[in-house]
Amino acid sequence: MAASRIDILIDRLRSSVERSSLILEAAERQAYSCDGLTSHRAVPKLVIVPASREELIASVRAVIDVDLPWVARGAGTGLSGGALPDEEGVLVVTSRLKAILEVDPISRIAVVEPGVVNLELSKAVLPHGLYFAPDPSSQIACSIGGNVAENSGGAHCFKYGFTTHHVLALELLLPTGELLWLGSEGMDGPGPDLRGVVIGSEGTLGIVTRVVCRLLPLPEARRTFLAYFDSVAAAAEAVSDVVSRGITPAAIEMMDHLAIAACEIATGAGLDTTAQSCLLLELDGEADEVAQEFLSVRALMDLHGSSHVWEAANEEERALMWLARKAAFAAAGRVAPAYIVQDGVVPRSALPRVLEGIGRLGVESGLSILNVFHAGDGNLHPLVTYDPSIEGQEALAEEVAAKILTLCLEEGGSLTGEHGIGVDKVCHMPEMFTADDLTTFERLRGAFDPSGMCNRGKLLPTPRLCGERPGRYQPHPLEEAGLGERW
Amino acid sequence: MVAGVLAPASVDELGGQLRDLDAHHRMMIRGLGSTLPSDDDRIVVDTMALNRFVHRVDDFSVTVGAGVLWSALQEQLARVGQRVAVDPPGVGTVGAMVATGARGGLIHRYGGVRDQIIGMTIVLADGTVAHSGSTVIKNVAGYDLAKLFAGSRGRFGIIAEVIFRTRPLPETQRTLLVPARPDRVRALVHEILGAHVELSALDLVDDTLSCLVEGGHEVIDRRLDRLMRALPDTATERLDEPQSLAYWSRLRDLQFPVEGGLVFSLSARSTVTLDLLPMMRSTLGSSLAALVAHVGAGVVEVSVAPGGQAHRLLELREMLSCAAGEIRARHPLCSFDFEIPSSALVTHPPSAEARAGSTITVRLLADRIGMALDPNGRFR
Amino acid sequence: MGTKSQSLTEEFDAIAELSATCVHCGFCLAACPTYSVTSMENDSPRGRIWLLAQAARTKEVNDSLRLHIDRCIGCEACVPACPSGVRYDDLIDRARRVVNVGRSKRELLGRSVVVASFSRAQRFGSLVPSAQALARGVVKSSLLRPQLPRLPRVQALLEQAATIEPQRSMGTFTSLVPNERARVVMLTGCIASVFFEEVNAATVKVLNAEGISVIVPKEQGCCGALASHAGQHRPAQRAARALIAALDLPGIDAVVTNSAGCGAMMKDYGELLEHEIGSDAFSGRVVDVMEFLDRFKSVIRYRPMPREILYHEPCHLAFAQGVRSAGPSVLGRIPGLKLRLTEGPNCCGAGGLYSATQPELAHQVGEAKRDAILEAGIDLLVSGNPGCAIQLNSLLGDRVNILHPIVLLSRAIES
Repeated sequence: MAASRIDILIDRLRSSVERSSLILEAAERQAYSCDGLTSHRAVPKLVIVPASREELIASVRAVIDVDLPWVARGAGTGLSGGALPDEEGVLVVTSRLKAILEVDPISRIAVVEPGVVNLELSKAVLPHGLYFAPDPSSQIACSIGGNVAENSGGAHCFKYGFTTHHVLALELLLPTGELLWLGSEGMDGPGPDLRGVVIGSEGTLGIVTRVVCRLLPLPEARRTFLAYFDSVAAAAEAVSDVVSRGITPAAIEMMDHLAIAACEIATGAGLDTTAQSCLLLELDGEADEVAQEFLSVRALMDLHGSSHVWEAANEEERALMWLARKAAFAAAGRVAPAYIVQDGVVPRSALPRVLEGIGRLGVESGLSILNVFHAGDGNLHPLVTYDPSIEGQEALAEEVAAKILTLCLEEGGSLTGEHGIGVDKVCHMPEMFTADDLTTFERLRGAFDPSGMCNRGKLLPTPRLCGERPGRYQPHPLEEAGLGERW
Repeated sequence: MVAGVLAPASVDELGGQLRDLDAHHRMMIRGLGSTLPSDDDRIVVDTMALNRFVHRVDDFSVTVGAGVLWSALQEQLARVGQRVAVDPPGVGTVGAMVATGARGGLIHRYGGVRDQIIGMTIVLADGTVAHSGSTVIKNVAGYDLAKLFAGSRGRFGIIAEVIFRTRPLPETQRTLLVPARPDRVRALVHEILGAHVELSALDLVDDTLSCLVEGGHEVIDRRLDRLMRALPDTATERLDEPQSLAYWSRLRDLQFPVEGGLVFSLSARSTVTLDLLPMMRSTLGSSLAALVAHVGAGVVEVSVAPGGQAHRLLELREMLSCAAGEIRARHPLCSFDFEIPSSALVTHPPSAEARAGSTITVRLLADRIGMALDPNGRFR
Repeated sequence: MGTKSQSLTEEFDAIAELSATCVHCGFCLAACPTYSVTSMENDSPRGRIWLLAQAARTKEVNDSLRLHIDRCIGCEACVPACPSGVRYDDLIDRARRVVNVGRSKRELLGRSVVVASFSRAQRFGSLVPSAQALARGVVKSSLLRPQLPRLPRVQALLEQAATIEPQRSMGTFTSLVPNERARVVMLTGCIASVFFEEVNAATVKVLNAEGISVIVPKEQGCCGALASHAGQHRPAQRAARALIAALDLPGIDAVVTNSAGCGAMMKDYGELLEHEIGSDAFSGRVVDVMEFLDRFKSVIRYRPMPREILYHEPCHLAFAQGVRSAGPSVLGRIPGLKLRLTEGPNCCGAGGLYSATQPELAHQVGEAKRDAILEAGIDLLVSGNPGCAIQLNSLLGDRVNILHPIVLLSRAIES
């Protein structure tokens, strides 16, 4: 059945899109079988890489017409399998739609196509003294369309927020084939914020065809430095202290000993691999304010026993520090044959407790766990390493990774801070959300996608995917939030 | 007379009450409620008893029931040096502020109320209690229901509890007033934004640009000096802390409807709103009660006097239709159903396919969502 | 036959192991010149690695794999970009050998003819017209690929041949200096010696001025890079052995080359010759002329040149050899000279024979490079690789003057 519908579709597309926009060869489709999450793979029946926005709209409508499931993909750097293709359906890739349509430096906005690479936008508006704030580690390759789908964060979102704070409007092609603009070119639009619903919806509510990005002025001053510590706990305490004093650095990143070593091997940035942990801090803003903040933060680092500090003397050194940090995930590939990345979030004050818990899980399981994360947001990225050639170790790693998520949820946190649910964590959803929560999500999804063909199987658990395993009931964080009460 | 009043003291109680109701009862949500009309057959859901308040001080987040007064929330937070960075006009409950998409001058730096919410508990018409987000500031698990409900004016369900991200309360504030003739506004805004002084608000009222600077005692005057130096040819006026507080309080009042009047809010590209301002003034003439433009954010609040409001709205829409913007009305009745020609809601930029009929309006999509979450139209 | 399939199995095993280190993060996408033009996964390092991994699993080479390996320029910009340390340089070498298996005889022959016509350019000496005729014959007979629309690089070479006075190769000579600080042997290069003799003369002049003696042996062949890029393992090895025999003279401090492509190949002889005796030692002595000059404190007085120039990093220097700071550092000795890099991907699309075998894609990559260069608005560009110089020249014509950095240095020496 599906095959014939595919044939009909291909036939129709041949007359409406360029030949080069269709990838038919099985071997070539195979290259699109996964995004940055390689543990799940599926080869789609057809890959469409539209050459223009018009082709994108026409081809998605054609897919909808023949009633095939479809999935949108940007640069394929996502870490939760949000762009995992549907084996029975079509993959629509936005990578060729990379035009920056307009830059308005006075209103500080840019209108872009979804395939524009995150960093390319910042480069393009640099002459105006502006930049696009969301900076996920993959910003060198990931696309704005993908950022919208995942509500991408990055190292600097502690101060500057996420994609949802930096995308003012978007043009959406609904799973029904209808097209509309959501949001406005101002900071706050009228009525319910449907723009905000679509951002972070992981490609389940349609495909974005144009995006209005808000741009920020480059900070006047910036100070970046690494503070080394003799223990993970000391660094975590330092973070909690900085945050609780209301200081808002542009970024506070943390790496433990193993992560420092891996990043140093990968980049040769000059990190001190003897340290047990380090914080990468960046302060930015007005020169006066930064100077003052720097003094307070330095004092706090000393207070918590930072052994030494390396401050970037120039832009090159700063770039090196960030290069090392942003290479962390892939660099883990150098110290272990395989690993699972987690993306849980905890309240900042819980960091020391949770890190201790993760350390304990590592010791108990005998697996090495690298910690590298956005400490300012409490967004953990433990990398649970394992050797797939050792019998049972992969399952053990999965078990440890799941326990880490449970630790996060117990603190009132979240399954994912920025990577998304995708397919990776879809079966964990019942641990964070009640059945009523999930039903409500489904009802909302159905309003956008009544036929359920758009990125099906992602984000929300289905019995087919997650077995009949009933979700373990977990009191919602709200229900037990009495813990932290203080007046 | 209303058909009945529900006054739940907890989210679960509210869920239970709605589940027990006849599915066809229409409902109306009431917060402070002083201006609500007594609709004939509606059941009123009074949220005032939903007053939970959990402040996680060190984590800069607060869980608060919809019935808590906005002013009470801010006062409690201020005791430990924090705030939710939104400064809306008027008084009301947290639920009302969120449901109407409240904002004020701080939108310039922090965005609107929707941008401060990290979690929400809602109750649907059938009693379903749903949560989204949580107490952490970074979270992409599940759909962001808070965005859907912020500004929805009760159309989809009841906002029962909200979790806000709080921010440090600035030690002090100053304001710089910059006289700005209409033909000079654009140039001045450019100079002010280029001064590398991070403003918390930048509003244009009555030919004066008002720059709010917030921060620490030690550096704030130096920062204000720098801002002034960036405007060498302009006679500016500095306001110290008490003056500044009083000034912004007055500006907030201007954004609230005058007795019997309406406030229209426009959202568009910043430069577009600047270009439209003179036209709005001349078109609205004497019916214009006040006009406050959050110029950096591209949001304008247009307060009009009683009488001829539909006509005024049409005039504004006409202006916006060629300028790619959006429009909404704020009214004490908080009525989302205020009649707005749907074409004014979407057409940015007016495009060929918008006319070709393959597009739909935001209004229509919102209706579909309404059908999904409230199939019997109890909140319509 | 048995040995062939056995070696293929070995190649597949090595490919499987090398590709397993890829974690699919996509950091290579931005560095890849072909992906930046086509935005197609299969034209990216990540996509090619996936294709190769699949081929290694199935032990099968299909047309898709062949097509996309052929479309790789081999610039290796992805190697330093990869946080996981995937050895794409090693992978692509093996891939090129693997995809030749099963390639049609006609196509293989065509590729050999092109390799031969360029790599023997020097031996033909001043007989450029015959190389020209050979190239034309290649074009006419369409042996390369069924539908070649155009051959811009070959055309560029032909045009070059028509406009540049063919110069005789230098012949053996030794230029010793008193109180020498070092003594080196110089590779004249096959393309360079025909089209860019000034480069060799300048190299000798600058080295001598720094107190370095230069020996230039007469019998030098091609370094084997062209054959290696075409996946011709044995011919490449033969070329390597011949060149080692010609250049590995006793009492030499270094083997200096002014061609980034040749340098990259020669530094890889150890690998190419499977570490046979002498090959690693030879590779260890190979050095790019800018890299070599950077090791010495300069004794040259340069005339000031107060202007901005564009600095093009040849991929084979920056990525294959990892030589990045030496060029700017040495050029920085000229007072007043300011260097600027172009935006966007580094590669110009030349890539050895690439522009002959993949004219369309090479042209697109070249156009992107051209636009980036013109955007900078500077009319002088230096590039340390003859292949790049030819490509850039054909792209830019008179609009930008292209020099080898060594020529710029030589011209700036105060007499």
